[in-house]
Amino acid sequence: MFDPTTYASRALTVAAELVADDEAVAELRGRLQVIHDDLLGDNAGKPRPALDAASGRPVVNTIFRPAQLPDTHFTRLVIVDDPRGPADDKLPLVLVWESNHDGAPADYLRQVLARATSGEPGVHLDFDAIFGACVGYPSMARGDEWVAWMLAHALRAEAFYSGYRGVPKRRVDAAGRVHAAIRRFLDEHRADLAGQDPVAVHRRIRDHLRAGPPGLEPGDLEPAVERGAGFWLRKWATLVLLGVAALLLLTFLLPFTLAWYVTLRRHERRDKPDRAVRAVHGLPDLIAVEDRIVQNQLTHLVDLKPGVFRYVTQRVVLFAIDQLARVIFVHGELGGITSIHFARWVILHDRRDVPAHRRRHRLLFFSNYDFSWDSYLGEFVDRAARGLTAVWSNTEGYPRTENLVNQGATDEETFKQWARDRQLASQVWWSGVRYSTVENVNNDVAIVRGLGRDLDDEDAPGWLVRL
Amino acid sequence: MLAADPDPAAVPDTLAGADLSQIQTLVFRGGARDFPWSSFLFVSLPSEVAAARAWLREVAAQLAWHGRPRPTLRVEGGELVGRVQLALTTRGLRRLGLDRAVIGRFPFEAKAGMERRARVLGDPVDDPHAGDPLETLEQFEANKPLPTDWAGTGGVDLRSCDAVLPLFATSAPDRHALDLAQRDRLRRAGGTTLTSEYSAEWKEREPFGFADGLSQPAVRGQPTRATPSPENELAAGEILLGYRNEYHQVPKSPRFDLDHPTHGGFDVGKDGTFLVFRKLEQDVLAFWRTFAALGQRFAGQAVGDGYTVPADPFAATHWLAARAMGRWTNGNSTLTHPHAAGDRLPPTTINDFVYGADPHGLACPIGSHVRRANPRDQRGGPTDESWKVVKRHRILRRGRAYGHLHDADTLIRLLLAGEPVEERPASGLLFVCLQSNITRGFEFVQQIWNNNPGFHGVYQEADAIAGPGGCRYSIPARTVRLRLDNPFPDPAEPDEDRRLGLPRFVVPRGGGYFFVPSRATVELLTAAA
Repeated sequence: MFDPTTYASRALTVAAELVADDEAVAELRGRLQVIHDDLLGDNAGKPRPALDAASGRPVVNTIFRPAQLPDTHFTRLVIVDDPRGPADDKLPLVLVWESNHDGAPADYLRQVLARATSGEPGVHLDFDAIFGACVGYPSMARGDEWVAWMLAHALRAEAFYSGYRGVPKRRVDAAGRVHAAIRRFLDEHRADLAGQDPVAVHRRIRDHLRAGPPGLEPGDLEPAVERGAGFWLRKWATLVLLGVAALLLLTFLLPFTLAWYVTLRRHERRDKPDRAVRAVHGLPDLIAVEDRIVQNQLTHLVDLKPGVFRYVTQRVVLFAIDQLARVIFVHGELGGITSIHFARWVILHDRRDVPAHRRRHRLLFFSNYDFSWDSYLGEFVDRAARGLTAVWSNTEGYPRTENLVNQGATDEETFKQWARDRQLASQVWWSGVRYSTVENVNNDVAIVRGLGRDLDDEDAPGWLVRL
Repeated sequence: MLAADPDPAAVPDTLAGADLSQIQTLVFRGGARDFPWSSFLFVSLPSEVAAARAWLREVAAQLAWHGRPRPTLRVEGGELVGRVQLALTTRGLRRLGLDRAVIGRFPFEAKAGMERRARVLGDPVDDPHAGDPLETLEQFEANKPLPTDWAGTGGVDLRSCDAVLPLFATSAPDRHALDLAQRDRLRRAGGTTLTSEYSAEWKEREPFGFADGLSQPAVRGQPTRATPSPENELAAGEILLGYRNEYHQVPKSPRFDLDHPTHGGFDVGKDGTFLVFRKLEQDVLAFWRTFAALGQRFAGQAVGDGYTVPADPFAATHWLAARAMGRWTNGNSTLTHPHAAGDRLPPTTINDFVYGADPHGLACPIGSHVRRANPRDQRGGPTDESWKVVKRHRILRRGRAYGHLHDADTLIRLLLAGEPVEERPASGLLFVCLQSNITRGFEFVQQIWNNNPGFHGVYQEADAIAGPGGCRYSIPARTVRLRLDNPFPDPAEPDEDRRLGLPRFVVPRGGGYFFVPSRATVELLTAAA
């Protein structure tokens, strides 16, 4: 059913340069706006199609309906521009498609292609209308060539985190249906069940679900794949390798480590951090699209500080976070933050034919999180300031740091303003779990797991309190 | 050019040693005991700077500052004992001729106003998409959408409000005289009164009948008789600008450029705070009618772990309402008194509880009003970390009830007996709170704690007392959770969640964001142009 090698949630980031043609880009922006308006209605809980300027009639989104993507948790489309780049050194526009999906990217893209070109009535996944403005794009009609092109433009996630890694979208949806069916059953039979023994209540619920009540689909009661021996092996191998690396850096490689440290301190003294002169101000058009549903999104773009030193440090820090996200932060929290569904860092490399010191590599961050921008950034400061400082202290304008991980994000207002100032508008953003927080999803999954066996006196009350 | 930011280590996080006479009395004293009567006078200033300043000079002479002799308050036919306070919108600051660059350094939400924050606050607006990109102060001030319910009966439209004068008096006639004198003064100065909102006499309870104002944080170093517990004591910068806050930083404050000819480097925000006003109408009849019907339905049902809804419908009504509030009507927490209200604890101990012993919310539901409004040790992570995080979002409440205050017990008995209840004028809360950062204080508490449908793992629920309605509310149980839904559903409503969701009992009827200036800043604003 779900082969452990393929079920893991993956981070696909397709980034392709747009043609240098203002008209084509304007047309693309118009299309993304149509999709955005369609989804905004979706996100606000009530439809609100945009009106066509000429006819005054609603514009219908026949371009891209993310809900029709197979096995997709969250997705977005962003035109990455270069708003803070120097006027005489602007980088070309890049269109980025972010998808948080299940299975290997090649399989996923083939499924997307199959669905899009199936000719099923009502299916609108017209990637040609979106990526058509990218340099060298082959249309979907080219089949395998399309998949190959997408893969060739996919950026590696330097670090990727999921609040429920390894739980496929289908299992997320199924667990939600199971929990809802249990609630309906309990609400109807509360007076009868409330006085009973927890073990008996658990059995009654199981019997009810096995009888196939309305609202459940076949296979919904299958639990999500448990982490098997492969996971534990990887976990211990990772920890041992990280430990050995740390040991080496502190013994045989100590001179190297010290040299790195001295360089770091010199950089930290010389760096020019942003200065916030007032309480945090967000761009009104960013704020205008926020707080429509229980989740929000962040697209954040910042130049790496120039030079090899910061570049290498950045890669190492992200590598370490990525490894920890695979084996340690797999229980719905990342360094104490429980509100992140999916987040990733990718590097947009500057491959222009210019001298190395003039290359502008950029760090791109995507996050899909619960609750408001302010609460999310607040969690960064409250609970994970060091980890985030380790990442972003290698980028331009970051608040003053000390020893890579200290200070930085703890300067709350300066940090938040730095983040707001480098936030990009996400032209299209879609959530596949509009009503569920990370805690909800993990709780639902645990409920289904508890249905697979008889519970004893000890386990039953703990399971019931989840309902 | 702006002066360099102060080194946080050199700025105190306590008021000990500070000149408290710079601070308006309201920050330290709600004045309930001395002044049971109050009103809030909302002002639109004359458009000429000189006239606006002339008005401010007169008002300034009457303002109460901590530890300063009480100014004489002249009214028609004599003098009286009372208290006058002042808070300004950024619009008002502009009318008073404050430097434009300085106003630009005020917080985003203070310039945008409460109306523009409707989505954040859960206030219904006709067009949820209202809000074109705005850049300038003028655009902010000119294009505010009015939330739907604010235009209704008793709504307060504060879009053209420049200032509010919170007025406090010892008696109803005094309050009236004070209000009239201020209106008169304003009219003579060429301004207009938008509205006066009168409170009810202070009764230590809110209109639903629950004891109110029990949990207030203390500001470090504030003048007080009792020693606050460390968990309840905030760094001064959480409430006042110019002091270190709970992030160990100095909050950004609107300041003059260093090279300004007369006020170079002056910190307009220092010793000031931000005031949120919100008129909240409470549908007391609907509230108790709903809970009485639920009490009848669930009376006698088991909850597990030794908890049972009382068999008597009157007691059951109280039991359910207490589980929604997190406190009984007498103020005792359901954590210390899980089965019945008991005798009211003395003020020294009534607020003395933590939620750690009740992680699943069996005694005090996780989604209950008071647990949402102040999650104490259960905000997530270790206890210390939870307190640390919670302290970054606390607010000082200074609100007053208004309208007719029912006796809850009488009302419940009438409703249970099916007897008619006399219609009374609307009642509710003139909610007021103070904090150094509205986004991190009031807005955060409202959006992330009280109204959050996913607060701490709950499922599509909100505060059952003061939330936006349309959600069911559940009381955790050892066996089967008790789910409260609307006992009087509208059969015509097709959406199940909306049909079965509890009604909205607390309806916002208008409000605004204000800046409470220090004495030095008032002096600066009154200075001749």
